[in-house]
Amino acid sequence: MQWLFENPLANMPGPAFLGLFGALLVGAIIILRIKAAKIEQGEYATPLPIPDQIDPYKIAYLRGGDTEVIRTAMLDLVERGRIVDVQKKGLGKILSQAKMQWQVADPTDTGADLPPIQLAILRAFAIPRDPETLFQSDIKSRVHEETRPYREWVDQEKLEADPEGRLQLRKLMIICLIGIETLGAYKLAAAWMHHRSNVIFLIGMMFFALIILPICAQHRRLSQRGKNFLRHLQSAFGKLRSVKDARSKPAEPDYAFGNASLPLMAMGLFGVSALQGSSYDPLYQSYQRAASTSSGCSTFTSFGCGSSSGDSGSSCGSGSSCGSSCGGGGCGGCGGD
Amino acid sequence: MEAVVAVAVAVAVVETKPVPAREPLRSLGVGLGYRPVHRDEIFAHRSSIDFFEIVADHYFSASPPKLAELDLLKSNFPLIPHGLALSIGSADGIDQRYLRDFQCVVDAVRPAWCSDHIAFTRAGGIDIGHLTPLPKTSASLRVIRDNLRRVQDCITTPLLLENITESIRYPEDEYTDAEFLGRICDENDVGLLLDVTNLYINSVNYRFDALEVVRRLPKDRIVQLHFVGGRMEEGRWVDSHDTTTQDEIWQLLEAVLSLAPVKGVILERDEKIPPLKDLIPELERARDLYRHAIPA
Repeated sequence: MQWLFENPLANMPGPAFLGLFGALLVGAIIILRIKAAKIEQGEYATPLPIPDQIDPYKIAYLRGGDTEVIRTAMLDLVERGRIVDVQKKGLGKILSQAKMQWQVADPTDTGADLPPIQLAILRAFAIPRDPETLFQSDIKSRVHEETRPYREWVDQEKLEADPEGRLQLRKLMIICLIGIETLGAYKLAAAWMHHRSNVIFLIGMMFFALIILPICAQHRRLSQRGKNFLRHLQSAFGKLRSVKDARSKPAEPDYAFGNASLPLMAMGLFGVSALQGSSYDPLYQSYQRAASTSSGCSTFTSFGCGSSSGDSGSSCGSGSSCGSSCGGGGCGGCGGD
Repeated sequence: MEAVVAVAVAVAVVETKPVPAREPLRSLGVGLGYRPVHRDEIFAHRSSIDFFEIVADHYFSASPPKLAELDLLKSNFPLIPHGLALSIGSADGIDQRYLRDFQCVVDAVRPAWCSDHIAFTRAGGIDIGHLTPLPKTSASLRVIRDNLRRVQDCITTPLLLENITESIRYPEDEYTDAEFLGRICDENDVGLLLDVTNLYINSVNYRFDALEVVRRLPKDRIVQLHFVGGRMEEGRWVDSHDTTTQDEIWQLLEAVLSLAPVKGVILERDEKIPPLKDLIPELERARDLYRHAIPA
C-alpha cells in the first residue's frame, strides 16, 4: 500500500501540483461552457417566423414559464374587472397598507365562463391576497397542468434548451466536480501522510471548484432559436413595451391580436414592466412591492434567469424571484436576454 | 507532341463542360417597398404582404438596431435588396466600395434576386445624388456590359435592372426604349425590373405607346414590377411616389401581367407615406391582378 502515497503525483511539489490542479480546473470549466453553449445553440438554425395570430399566454410561457402565465392571467382578470384591488372595495383601512391585495370583485362569481387557467386564479382570489403569494400556493401546480400545450409547443419548436443535453451537462458537471475534488482530496491525504501542512491554497482551489463548476454548467433556459423568436416578437411589437405609451398615441396602433387586448399582449410579450404608469399600474406596483420584500435571484439573472435544474418547463424557479429582479420584462422577463 | 495533344484534350474538355443552368426564379407574389415607418404595422397586415423590397443602401455599415431590423424582416419575409447607387451606367466604372457593401447585404439576405437601376449616379468621381438617364447608344451598352461583368463577378445572385423616369432624352439615342432595355437584358443575362409607373410617365411625357414597348420587350426577362402613383406638375408627369396609383397605371400593370411571367410585384411608396393599412387596398388590388394573370 506504500505506493498509494509514494508515487510521482503524491510526491509532486506543491506549486507544480497546484499548476496541474488549476489546469485541470480550467479545462473542466472550458468543457462545461462549450457544452452549455452547444445546448443553448440547439440544433435548429432556421428562425421561427412570427405567427399570424399571437397568443399572449404562449409567449408569456416562452418568456418565463408558468410564473409568467399566472401573471398574464391575472392581468386578464383585472382587465375584465373580475379581480380588483382591495382598496377599491373600501377595505383598505382594515387590511395592511404594506401590501397591495387583490380580491374577486363579485364573491358570487363562479367563473364558469373562464378558461381553466383564469378560473384557477379567480378562485385563488376568493380571499384577499398579494399576487405574489400565488406562486407559493398549489395554484402553480394546477396551472402547470394547463400549460401542457405550451410546453409541447416549446418542445416541438425546439425553443428551449434540449432536455437530454441538459441532463448530459449535469452529468458532465458532476463527473468533473467529483474528479477535481477527488484529486484534491487525494493530495490532501498525501500531504497529511507526509506531515505537510501547507495546503491552504489547495483547499481554497477545491472550494473554488465547488462553486465555479456548477455555475459554469448553468445555461439559459431558452435555446438560441427560442431567444431569437422572442427577440423578434419583442422587436416587431416594440411599442407595446409600455402600455401607457402605446395608448397615448393619437391613433392606437392597428395590431392584429385576435381577441387579445393591447395590455394583455403587452404583458405576454414584455411582462409586468409594460404596465408601469398605465391604468394597470396598481398591478405593477403589487409585483414591485413583492419584489422588494422577496429574496433576489442574482444567480438566475446572471444566467438569464435560466436554470439547469431541468426538471420542468418552467425554470423560472421559485415564482417571484425571477420576475422581481428582472422587473418582469426589462430583460425580456425570464429566459430573455 | 504528347503535350500538344494533352492541351488540346484539356481545351476540348473545358469547351464541352456543360454550363450550369440557372434555376428558374420562384414567384414571390405581391409585396411592398419596406419603409421603417411601417415597422410596427407589418405584422398586423402580414397576410397582405408576400415579400418586402428593402433599400440595400440603408443597411450598409448598419447600426445594431438596423441589423436587428434586417434580422427581423428576413426571418419573417422573403426580402429583395434594391440598390440605389450602383451606377451601372457610369463610364468610370463601378465603385468597388459600394459594390462590396451591396454584396454584404445580398449575402446577409440571400434573396431570390437583387436589383438596381439602369442609370448613372456618379460621373467623373462626383456623386450626382440622382438617378440620371443614359443615352440609348451602343457606347452606353458597352459601359453597362463592362460594369455588369464586375458586378456579376462579385454577386452571383440574379440581378435585375430597373427602367427609370427620364428627365431628359438625348438627341444621339440610337435605340428605342424596348430595344435598349431588351439588349441590356439579353446581352448581359440580367432580368428586368419593369417600373410600370416610370414607363407610363415616360410614355406620356415623350408621347409613345407604353404597351407597345412592353410587347417588344423580351417577356421572359421581365421578372419584377414596380408601381405607385405619380403626379402631373407643370404639364409633365413626375414619379413623385407620393400618391395612390392612377387608373392608367393600373391598366398598364394589368396588361404587363397578362403578357409576361412576372415573379413579383412591389408597391413602391416613398413620399407622404400613409399608415400601412391605407396601402393594403392597393396591395390587394395588385394581388387580384397578379393571381388572375399568373395562377399559382
